[in-house]
Amino acid sequence: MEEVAPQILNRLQELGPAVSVDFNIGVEAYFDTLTTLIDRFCNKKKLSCIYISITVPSSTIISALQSLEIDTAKIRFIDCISFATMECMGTDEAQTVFVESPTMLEYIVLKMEYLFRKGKGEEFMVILDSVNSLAAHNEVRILYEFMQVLMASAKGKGAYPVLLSMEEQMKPEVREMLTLVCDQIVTLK
Amino acid sequence: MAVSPGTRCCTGMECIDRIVGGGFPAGGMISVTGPCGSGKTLFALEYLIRGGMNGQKGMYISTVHGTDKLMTYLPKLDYADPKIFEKGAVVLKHIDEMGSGERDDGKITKTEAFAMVSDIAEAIKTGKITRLVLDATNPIVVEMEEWVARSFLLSLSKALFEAECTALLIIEGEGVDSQEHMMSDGIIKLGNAVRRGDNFQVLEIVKMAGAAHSRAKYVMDLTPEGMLITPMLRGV
Repeated sequence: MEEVAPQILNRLQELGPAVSVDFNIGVEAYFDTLTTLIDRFCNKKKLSCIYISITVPSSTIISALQSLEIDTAKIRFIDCISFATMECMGTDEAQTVFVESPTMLEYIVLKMEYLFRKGKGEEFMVILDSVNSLAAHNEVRILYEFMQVLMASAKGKGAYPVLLSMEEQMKPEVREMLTLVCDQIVTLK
Repeated sequence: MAVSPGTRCCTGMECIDRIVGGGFPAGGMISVTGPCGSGKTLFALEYLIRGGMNGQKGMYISTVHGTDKLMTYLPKLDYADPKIFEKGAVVLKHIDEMGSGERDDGKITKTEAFAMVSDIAEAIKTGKITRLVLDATNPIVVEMEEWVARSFLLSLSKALFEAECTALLIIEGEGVDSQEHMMSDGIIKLGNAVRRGDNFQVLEIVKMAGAAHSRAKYVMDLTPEGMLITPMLRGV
């Protein structure tokens, strides 16, 4: 497998903001993809990042990034799992907002809107991690509606909307849905 | 006529103005109805605070809690000027300050109902109030005979229109078929919706006079940055 960082960075530079892109990655490239997006793109461009985490608690992601000495100050999390696992107590409220369940899709949209308002004047990247996890909790039809609203809203704010999907876990109907809602699907080789 | 036809009261709540045709009918009486915990009071306070921050003085009349207690309920509101109440841009009152408190056999008489409206109208005039909230109307109306309640609501509606003051009547309950609803120029229904076991706080515009308003059901979130809404997904 080629190094993912140059592929991601080149594609994002080429596309610019307000273009939704799905990075279809192998499981082994997950962490490299994440660090590239956050450290080498967001932090370097001084973008704020809205990170929508479906199955990994925000605290775990923060710890992992901090262990690599990556600055997490400009990341705001929409954490859809910690409420269900009762791990939200003691979490930094300024950095994380919680959605009670990954099936409460409308609240993901609303929390994103809230974070946009809170960071008025800032430029954003929105990362959805991941489409597969979301598809495990929701029917494709409702997911399609949700993705359209989420992408339109992020694009309307001039953000960089980025979706992560796992090659190995992709159902055909989810792949089809992604082709409809994303401007670009990039399979990282 | 006190208000020119078609004039809207832009609420300043971006998401609401968008779905009610630019604002509430100016000088109108809008019912905000819903069960306990559906966000009626926070909705009403945002309406007053946004107005107050835009030079439109507001008055909140509580019929339940004392105003001191109400202040302790206020959550963190990042959008609000923290001195909005101190500055007098939004004033808090209790219904006991209106009328004489006279009751006949436990009921509010017609004379007393008119005295309440008269005092409210006077407070609007002297305070140069353009936004009013009566939270909630049920405790007053329940103390009136049906015909007295109708007269009270009619005279309140008239007084508001003449004073060019746009009011929210907060109504506790699920239905939209009471006298207050019938006499309102607009009805906003707050409530809960369940989808696959998940509970959503929702908002609908049932009626809004003179506006091609939205008919959709919206999921809402009362955040420190103010109220936010998004259409409820159907998934079909």
